[in-house]
Amino acid sequence: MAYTAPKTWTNEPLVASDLNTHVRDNMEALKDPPSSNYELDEGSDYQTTSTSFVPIDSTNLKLSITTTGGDVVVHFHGVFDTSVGGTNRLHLEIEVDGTPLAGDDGVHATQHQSGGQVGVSFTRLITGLDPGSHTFELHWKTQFGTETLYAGAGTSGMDVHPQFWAREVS
Amino acid sequence: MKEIVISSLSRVNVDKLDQDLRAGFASEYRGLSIRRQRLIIFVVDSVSDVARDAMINLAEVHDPDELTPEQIAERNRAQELQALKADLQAMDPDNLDAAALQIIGKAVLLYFGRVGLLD
Repeated sequence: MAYTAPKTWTNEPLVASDLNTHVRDNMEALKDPPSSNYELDEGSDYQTTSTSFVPIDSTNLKLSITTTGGDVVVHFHGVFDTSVGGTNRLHLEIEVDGTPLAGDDGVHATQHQSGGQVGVSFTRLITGLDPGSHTFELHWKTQFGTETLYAGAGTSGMDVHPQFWAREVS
Repeated sequence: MKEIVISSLSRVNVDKLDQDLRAGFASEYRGLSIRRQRLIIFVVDSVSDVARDAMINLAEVHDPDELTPEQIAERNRAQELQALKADLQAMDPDNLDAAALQIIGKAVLLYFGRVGLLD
């Protein structure tokens, strides 16, 4: 149900069609905002050695919603590991409609070492989007070595299920 | 950046393949990923067909049991640690001879080496 800019009443009668459009339909739209989410439950964990941002999964971790022009909140949480014996840095970025949101070293980074699994969780408010269809795709890169994202793939002790979601909030 | 997708590999030693691709194609290779049981090789847009085919070939003949020098060092360190643990457990603390002190010394050095990784 699409949201309609509410009418400003003056002295005209309250008619059913106006009430349905501007009250009922808008209440329904606010209760069920444009939203998309994906919970990983894959056959194998994800890994990368890329030192520049690449998509983690262009199918599953690329969300699409059609907004009415409001702000969008994007959230991700997951558990990562690295092959590097010393400390290594993981970077995360969101591409909005194919364009990096933050640029530089992304929207989030964390430092950890091999065997030191690290939980990563971030929430990002995205403003200034025109009404219409938008994509939100999670990208990653590593400082060096191999980064692993556990994806509910049955890895012993790390059979965890990350989630990525996007929702219009205003 | 372009992606080369290889679906036919059942097992990959990501660190080793990455090291081999970096050594062979430094100017065209940008990294690799495992994504839904597929190997993705990231290359520059201007990658030549020759380099592309050579990278695919390298991935296809890749032996996942072959280790990088870092992985060999880590395996050796783990084996050394395992042996030391067994020696320490078998030790009689009330009767420490020269050989026992040598084992304790090794364990201490290994411990500080491990802690040193946090620097």
